[in-house]
Amino acid sequence: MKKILKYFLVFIALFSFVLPVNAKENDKITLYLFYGDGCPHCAEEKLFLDEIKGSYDNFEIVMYEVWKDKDNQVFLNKVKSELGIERSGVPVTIIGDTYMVGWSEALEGRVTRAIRFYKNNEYTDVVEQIKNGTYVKPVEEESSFEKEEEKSDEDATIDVPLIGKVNLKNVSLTTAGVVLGLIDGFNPCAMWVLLFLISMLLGMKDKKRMWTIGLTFLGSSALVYMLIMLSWLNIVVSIATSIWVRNAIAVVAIIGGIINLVNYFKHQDSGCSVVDEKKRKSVFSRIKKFTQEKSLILALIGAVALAFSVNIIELACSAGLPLVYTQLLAINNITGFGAFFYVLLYIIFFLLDDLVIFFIAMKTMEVTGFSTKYNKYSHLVGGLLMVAIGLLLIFKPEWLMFQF
Amino acid sequence: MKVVKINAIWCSGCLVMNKIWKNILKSKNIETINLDYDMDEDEVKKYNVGDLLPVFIFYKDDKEVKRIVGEKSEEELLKIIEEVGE
Repeated sequence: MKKILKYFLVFIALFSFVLPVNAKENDKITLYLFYGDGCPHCAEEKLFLDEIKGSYDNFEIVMYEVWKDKDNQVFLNKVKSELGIERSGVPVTIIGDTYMVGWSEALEGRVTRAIRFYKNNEYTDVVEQIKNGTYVKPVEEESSFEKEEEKSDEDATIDVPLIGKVNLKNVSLTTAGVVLGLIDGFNPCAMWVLLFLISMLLGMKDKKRMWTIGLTFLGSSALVYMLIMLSWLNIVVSIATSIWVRNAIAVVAIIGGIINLVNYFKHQDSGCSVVDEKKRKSVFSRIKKFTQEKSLILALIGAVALAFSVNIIELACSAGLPLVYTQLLAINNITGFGAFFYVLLYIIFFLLDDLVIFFIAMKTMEVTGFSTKYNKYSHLVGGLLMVAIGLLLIFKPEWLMFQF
Repeated sequence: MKVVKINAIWCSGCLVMNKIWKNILKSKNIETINLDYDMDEDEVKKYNVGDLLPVFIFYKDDKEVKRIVGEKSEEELLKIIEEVGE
């Protein structure tokens, strides 16, 4: 028995460093939610809080309705003025001395991190203190949790020689953009149009005209894809706080992924599937018409119109990859210039194979093509990725939030 | 041996195999008939081609002895030529 106790003590001594330093657990953590009855974002946050409330011991949620209840409204105004909250609107969430105004999916991780933080660190129930008049404004405006968040953001930053500071969160989204864009690009749906266009361009004598029409077609394809992705992102950002929307996108990703996998296993022979005759002939006659157009302006208008119609129609063929990427951007709360940058990155890699084929053709005056084996493998990799992302969106969305 | 090749200008797999076939012809004497899926539509119809391109049809003494559908590697093509016999 003594021997066992000795080994046990040695074991504890050796492995004590893996035990959390802040092992102290606070008795009770209270999350305060000030909401409006009928406010959709509040309803979404309430759904989320319902999901997580059972996951923590000694954790309670106190809710105040402020649109209909005048007393609660007065109390919220008092809390806001004491804490210096200038932003208007509901929901207002307060845990310890940390507050959040509004609700989006990105805040889910912040709420759970804040609960975990206050469970193991200094916790003061400021709302309770304001209520009973014992609250004293702290000297520092930033809460201890906010400081910790800033620190972890700095921890996620690494120094890369020549490049400088790089945030791992951005690296994850960049990698996802490169990989998903490349896989989407190898999808053969729109490639046949480009190959036909190049073969028509090669019949021309005027090299400058060939470059202009070809690059206009590729540039317009990039533009239409970008417009579709950015507008989709805008819609997703405004409604994607809803778990139902996120789950619906996840289901689309899983179905798209399964379609890709079925295509991979069903079509073990690589090759080009013959496009529907009516569609093929209509695209061919359009390309012939605008490439033979005397006026360059009219030829360019034809190229732009073709790029728009082909890419919109063929978007369904991508089986949801752009949709999945915009959802990744949305749950990481990437908007504005950041969103533009990531979507642009996706599109550059999406168009990479087209650009390579176009440049080789213009230089060698011969049409070349990538082996269709790459298309086959893009179905396999794309399918697996989409199913995985879809499942994560439903069961472990926080893993896709790239919060380090 | 005679080979009827059915390609399309919009098919990247056909472009890849055209290069391979050109390379093979440098060392083999095989009569090759090239047909384009769109330009030689009527002729192509006679060969009862499905919905995957390219299609290579091998003939010996005017009889079809082998048909390959889809993109194949140079090694695979050489093996088939050996099987059919020049």
